[in-house]
Amino acid sequence: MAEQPILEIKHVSKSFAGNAVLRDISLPINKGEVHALVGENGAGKSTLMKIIGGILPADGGEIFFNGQAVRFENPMQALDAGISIVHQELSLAQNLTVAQNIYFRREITDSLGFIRKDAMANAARQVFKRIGVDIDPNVLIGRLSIGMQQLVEIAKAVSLDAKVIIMDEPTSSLSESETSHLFNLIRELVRNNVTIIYISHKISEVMELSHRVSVLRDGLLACSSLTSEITTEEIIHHMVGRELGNLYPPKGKNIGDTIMSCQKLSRHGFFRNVTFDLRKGEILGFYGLVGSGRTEVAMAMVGATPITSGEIRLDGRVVRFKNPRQAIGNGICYLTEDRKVLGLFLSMSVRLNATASILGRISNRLGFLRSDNMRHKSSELGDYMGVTPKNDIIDIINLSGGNQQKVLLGKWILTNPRVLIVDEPTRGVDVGAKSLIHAKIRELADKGMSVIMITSEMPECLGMSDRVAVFREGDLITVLDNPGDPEMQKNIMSYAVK
Amino acid sequence: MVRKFVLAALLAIMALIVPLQSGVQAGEPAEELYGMVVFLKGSEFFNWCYAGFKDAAATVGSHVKTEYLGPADWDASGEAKAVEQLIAMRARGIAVTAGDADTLVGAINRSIDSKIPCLTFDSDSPKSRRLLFVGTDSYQSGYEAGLIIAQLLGDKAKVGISLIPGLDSITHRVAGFEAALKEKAPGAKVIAKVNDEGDINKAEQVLTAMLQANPEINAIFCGHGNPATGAMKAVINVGRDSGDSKVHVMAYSIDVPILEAVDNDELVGTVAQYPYLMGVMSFLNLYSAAHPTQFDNPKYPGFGMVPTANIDTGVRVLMKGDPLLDYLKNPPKM
Amino acid sequence: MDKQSLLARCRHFLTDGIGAQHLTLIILIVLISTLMQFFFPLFLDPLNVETLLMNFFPEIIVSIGMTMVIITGGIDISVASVYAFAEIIVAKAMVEAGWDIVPATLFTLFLCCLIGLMNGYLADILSVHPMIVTMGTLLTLRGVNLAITDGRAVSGYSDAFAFLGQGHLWFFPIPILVAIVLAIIFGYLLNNHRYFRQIYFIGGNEKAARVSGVNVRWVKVSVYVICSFLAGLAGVLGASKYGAAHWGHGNMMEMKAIAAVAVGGANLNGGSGSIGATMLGVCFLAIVNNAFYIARVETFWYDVVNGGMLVLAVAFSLYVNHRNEIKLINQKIRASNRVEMEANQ
Repeated sequence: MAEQPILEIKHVSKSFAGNAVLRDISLPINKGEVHALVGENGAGKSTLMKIIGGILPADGGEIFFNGQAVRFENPMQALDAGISIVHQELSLAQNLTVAQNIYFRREITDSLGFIRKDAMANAARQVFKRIGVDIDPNVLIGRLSIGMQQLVEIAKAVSLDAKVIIMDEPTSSLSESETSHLFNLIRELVRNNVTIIYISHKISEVMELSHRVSVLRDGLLACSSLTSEITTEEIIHHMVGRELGNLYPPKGKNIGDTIMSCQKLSRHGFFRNVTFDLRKGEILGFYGLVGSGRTEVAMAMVGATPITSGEIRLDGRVVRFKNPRQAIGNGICYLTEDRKVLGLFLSMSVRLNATASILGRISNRLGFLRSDNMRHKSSELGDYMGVTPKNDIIDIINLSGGNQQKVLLGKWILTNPRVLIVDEPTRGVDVGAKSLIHAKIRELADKGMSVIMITSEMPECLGMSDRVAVFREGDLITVLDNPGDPEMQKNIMSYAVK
Repeated sequence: MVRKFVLAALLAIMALIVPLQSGVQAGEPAEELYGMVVFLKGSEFFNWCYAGFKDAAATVGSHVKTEYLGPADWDASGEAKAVEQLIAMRARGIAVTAGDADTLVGAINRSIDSKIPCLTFDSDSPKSRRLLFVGTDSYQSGYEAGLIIAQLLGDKAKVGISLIPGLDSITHRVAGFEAALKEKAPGAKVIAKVNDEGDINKAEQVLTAMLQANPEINAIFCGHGNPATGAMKAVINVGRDSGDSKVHVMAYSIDVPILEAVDNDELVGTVAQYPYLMGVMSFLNLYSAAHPTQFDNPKYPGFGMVPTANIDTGVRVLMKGDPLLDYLKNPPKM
Repeated sequence: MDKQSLLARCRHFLTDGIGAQHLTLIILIVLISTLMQFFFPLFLDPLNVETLLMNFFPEIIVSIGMTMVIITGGIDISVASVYAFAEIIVAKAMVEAGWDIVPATLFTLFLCCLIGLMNGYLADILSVHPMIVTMGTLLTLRGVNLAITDGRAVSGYSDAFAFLGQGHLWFFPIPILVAIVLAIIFGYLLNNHRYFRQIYFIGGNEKAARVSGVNVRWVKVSVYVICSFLAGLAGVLGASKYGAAHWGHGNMMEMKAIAAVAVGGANLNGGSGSIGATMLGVCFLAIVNNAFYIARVETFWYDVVNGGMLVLAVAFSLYVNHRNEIKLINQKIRASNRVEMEANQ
């Protein structure tokens, strides 16, 4: 490759509010190659892509495109220069046709400014022919499968005459046949001298498809190598190679017998044959990459979503919860990962939020609420969880994310559950609140509560859980005992990727 | 935040006070309030009524005030509320047109019990103890329309009638119309009666169908205000708006477009009531009832003299060239 | 309660937008009444106050149910038809079928509950916006009302029944007493009963309510049933008050009820509101309405003020929502920075 790189990233760094997210990244991307970019959740991949695509400005460093220094102020400039991003969450308008989406913002019109629909459809057909895809340009986007929509996005990039196409986790919601179609298309594009930057955490795909692979870890470029010269194990090693601090509470001491078990739990399209036991007093970590089906399993366990097949046993009895209310009645609670959508009553006071799940226990026999009871319970929770400010009649929206999370966790603790499922309990939470939440969860487990902890943060998973269930693409791959030593990381990661 | 709100509140208060002050009059000791209560407030017909009411009040003196109240829809309970409100305001007289005869019984009786004269105009509430009813004699108005058709077409008249079944006033008009035909042109016949449901478009449909099914029809009588425009369109639809086979349409409305159609020969004529006169008569009778003279009202002790019989304000069939056409084309200023 | 927390509560009440809105409303009501009384001594005359309240009693009763529906984040615009329907059914049952007052009333209220059941169930099962469902009910039921009466009034019932709407207990007209008692009962329930507390959770965040163990469907349906029940009850009283049942009665009542709830400060997107606040809203509308009569301002202007207040109230709740959105976005930005930051530790 004597040719100069089509895209060269030089000393790019970026920080948010003083915290470095990308540190001095330098990376050449050669023309006509598939360049894979891998890394853990939060390693900085997406930020780097956003900088290249003009969505975010870089703090320092330069980007050379075709040998020229460029600085895109917005995504449109990047598009015009020939850099397209195919986003993970597709950005197509569902109620417009395929052709209208492809020619969005550059509609083919007659001299009076009226849109010429057939001309646009024909042009779209030409593009599809070039990339060997068969899609009717007059169909509404909403009617197409996610895979097809992805192809339309790529067709759009091709029609824009993109030199570089960045794909962010393109296969995360594709079926196998759609994936292989996509790979063929990528190879075809590369033959036509288009450069692909392929972001993924599926290492098997990376090994199959890419010419070169770069690993990001904690905002640093951990390695960059020809794919043929690196092994899967080495990639994983570069992804996770870090030391564990002593930030976490000690592991569980008195773990008892199985109290809940899932047998071959399946929900069509989300997860398959998930089987595991949960023991009294333990913290079972659910590790996996985003979209591996962990949250879906948890939601199904508490009856928030249906189960297609399989069974759940509680104390040996088969149970099937039709809704979260029944699960709560049986002492099984789910603390959501999505505070805004599933957790908080934003326009209500802290006190109301805190007592939302124990209305029965703070009211008398006729169902009338006792405001003194309510106040006591709420302040009891506030003291136990260390919620600040102490004033609990202000709306919960005024609390920081960490305090909101403390209230939500406390709300479930007040119900005195036997099984508590916490989903990303420390996401978006400051360091102090984080260690408090960790300590409380361990304290509850030591008192005999069983906890399932869903987390995407490897250190948290290692530090907190007694055992780790590793998920990948809707399958529970294995359940590992977790002594908490750093060597576990590679072990877990090698199950979670592939 | 709070400051902004207080500001908004002050603005709202000011917005309220400004119109209120316009209602504050320099205190005339003997101010008298007379109220007119209607449904479909704002319709041209009732605007005519109120104009007469107000103008008659002005002839008595500036201490006499009038109020024009009632819902802008068909809600007769809204009229009852307005009557109750006038009672609470110690009005000296209330004229009400009953959107629904029964709904207003209670309110009208309460007014009489509170020694406030109350009468009905245009639409009566016969079960109530109102002093009297001022309005059009429906039978007579239909009769007058029948006379014109009988004069125009004689025994050859073959008539279609557009109406809403079940409404007393319309039924009486049609009966009067038929009686006039029978009397003056015994050979004339009513061929068909159709239900226009009080809707212009519906009237066009059913009348077109009627003319197609009965080509011998040469005259249409509209039993109420709404169908006339539809009838004219129906006649055009079947191509009989002029020439020998022309269908003669008699309307029952004083809306400006109808008056213009009479002027242009598109309608043979229209039955005009006298809403302005209704207003005038309503006021004069209320005023008389509110001011007892040396002899008490025999039927309603404590009230002044008013006729014991209802007052028929009469009708006039307006035809081309009638001087009233021009004057009706200028609706009253409010 | 100790002094400090009382102070905190007061401060909270004032800085909280809703509290400020209530205070503004109270001040406005007092101010308008004082000014009116000053210029027009007739205003606080007992007969005028009675008329003022009686002219709004159906709206008072209906707005209680409307408040609950709006707190769940729904809306019920069918109340006007339900009101007229109840009038007609109770009148027909007594006048035409010869039933007694009690069975006729119970039967009518039962039918109204069924209508509410249908409203709530359809809105939930078909997940159609309740605005559409209840608009369908509004129009359908109006057609039914017209069809079963041929557009004519039904009247001629007994004095005993007329007493319900026209009679007095001590000095109070019965419909007003009923409205006040209902407002107190439902106001207390909404504040103090676990079942009614759930409607706030549903309106605040329906998904979170479901995950928190609320039987969302049942609670929502029951709220529509209560709303139709109250509209029906108002209709029975209305039939008695006006001495006749007619399809046109109560027209546009839904707008007044919704306006009362909104002016009272409830968020039309759900989650907040109270019966007390709604009563303030009704009082405000009734007083302004009466002020227009007493001051002899052209009553067409009343709709302008009414509409203006509604716009103001809605704008205010939009503002509160918007403020919350911004807080959330800020939190999200902080959170995402933190995630990226922690990845680097």
